[in-house]
Amino acid sequence: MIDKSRLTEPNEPSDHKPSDTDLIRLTHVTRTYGRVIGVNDLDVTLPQGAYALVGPNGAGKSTLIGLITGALRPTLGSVKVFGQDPVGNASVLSRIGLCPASDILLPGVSAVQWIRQLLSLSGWPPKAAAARTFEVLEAVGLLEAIHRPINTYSLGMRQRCKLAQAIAHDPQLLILDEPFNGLDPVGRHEMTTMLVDWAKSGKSLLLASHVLHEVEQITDAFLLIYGGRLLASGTAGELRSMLADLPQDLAITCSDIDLLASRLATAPWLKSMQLDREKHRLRVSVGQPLELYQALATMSVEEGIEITELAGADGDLSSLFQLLVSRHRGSRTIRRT
Amino acid sequence: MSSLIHQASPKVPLNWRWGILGVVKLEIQRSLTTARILAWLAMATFPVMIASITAWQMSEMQMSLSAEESSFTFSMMLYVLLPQVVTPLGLLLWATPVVSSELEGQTWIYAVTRANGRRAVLLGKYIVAILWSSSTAIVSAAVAVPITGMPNPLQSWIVISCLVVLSAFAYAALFVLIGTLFQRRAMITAFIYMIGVEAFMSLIPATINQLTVSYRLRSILVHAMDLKVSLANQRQQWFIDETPVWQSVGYLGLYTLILLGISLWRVQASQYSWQSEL
Repeated sequence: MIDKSRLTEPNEPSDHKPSDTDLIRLTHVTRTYGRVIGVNDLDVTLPQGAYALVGPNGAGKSTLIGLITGALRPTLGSVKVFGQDPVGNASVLSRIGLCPASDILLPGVSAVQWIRQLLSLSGWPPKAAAARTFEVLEAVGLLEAIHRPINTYSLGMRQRCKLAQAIAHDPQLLILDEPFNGLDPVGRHEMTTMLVDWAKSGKSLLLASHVLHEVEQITDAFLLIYGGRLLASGTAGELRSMLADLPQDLAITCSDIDLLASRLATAPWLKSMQLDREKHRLRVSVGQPLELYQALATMSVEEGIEITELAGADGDLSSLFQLLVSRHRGSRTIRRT
Repeated sequence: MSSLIHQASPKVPLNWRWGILGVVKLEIQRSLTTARILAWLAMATFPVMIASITAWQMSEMQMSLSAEESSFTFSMMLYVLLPQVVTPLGLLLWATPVVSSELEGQTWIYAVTRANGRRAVLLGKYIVAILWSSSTAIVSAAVAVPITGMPNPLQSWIVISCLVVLSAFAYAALFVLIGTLFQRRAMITAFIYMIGVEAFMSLIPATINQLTVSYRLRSILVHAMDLKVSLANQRQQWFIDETPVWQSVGYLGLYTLILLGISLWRVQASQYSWQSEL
């Protein structure tokens, strides 16, 4: 689905040569708002595919989306989408569908009126726009409420309405900023299914979220952003592999937790250890994870300790993200080795 | 939901002008609320009431005006009330918030990320502002002119209506420009401009008043209504242009095109902030 080998690391020279077929190319892009830095020196090339842009609120996700959609100009550097500058570029913008995070505050306007107008802004003639509006509103499950003013919709309905306008003009690149906000579990499931199908269809996707487990189900290509900087990029596996060289917290479940704890206690690279006898789990904080992995392998063979689980402290990408953020605050950008 | 993305995209000839039509259509639909219809009626009624009271008082005081005097008095009164007050007031409500209303409704981002969204929104709103404001004043003139008892009522109504349309085009371009320059307090800025420049500066006996829309509209009124104003009087020459009507119309056309052009450039080059940009 996605050629992960072409994904370049942030601020790292890549063998991948820029081409017109690249989905997005950011060349040392910085965007400031007066003295506030929105994004800082982003340098990455993304081929066509599905990507999750992950970062906490205020990380710079929406600014990056603004730059990609041509709503903002970079203060420094250049942005290319489909090989062209997106600012005021009709041919680029007609291939982008955006579902922003901000809510719709249009009093007295129905979904059908609004989406029809937005299609007309994309150059669609009235008849075709009317027919397409009904198609997309039916697709997102809003057909029964299409004539109701949008401001009377629930938050979930407004999210679906925003999604409908984003896909209405049949874009090649769908950009969604926090699309799961306000959706109930059923709505989240439907949204996830739709986005998985979208990615499988060969169209490109950029999904901004601060909830890791939601985007993990849709794509395994991640861009981690914090403080306006791209901390890391790659697949979930690649990002996890970065942990091998970095201090991290791990949870180990094994057959003889006391023996394992006594063996590890003297290791020079161990920073702290917490024993949970009820769950047969040992939480360790280590400075050199590779040393730990080697020790575990040795102990498994020599001492007969059966390791049943080895995971990040909370078992998902959030540990990686927190680690990258903490490293970013005190050090330079993480790079895959 | 998923079935949609597998459907073939309809092959339609795309044209950016549909965007303007779409904006006009939506804005007209949005104008058909009770509050906005009442505002339209109130603005149309106001000049009619003034004209009625004036005509009634004159008859009460048994003032008998000659045809020339009647034409001059009521033409000037309707000129001030309609192209100079009612039309700009309507435009203040419709043209000035061209960008700020989109920003407040958090819909600007949808416009700027559409192929021709920026200029279509600006031009669409410009057209609706003209339609709303000029329709108010033209309907109002249609009722007020017969009430005043002016000679040649049809000609008077046509001249006033033409002045209303010229006023709407020019002031709408001015207010749209102010709306693209100021995200906040655009309406107050436009109001101050109208008072300071169009009301006071246009009456300053100096060449600078020729830069105002009021000066041109006044001149067109005097020539088109054939009002007896002695242009030999040097003082009056400062207030009325001797040039033919077509030149004044041409000046207003140029004024409108230049301001609209700057607005289009401004809106195309703008990076207005929206709520969640960080």
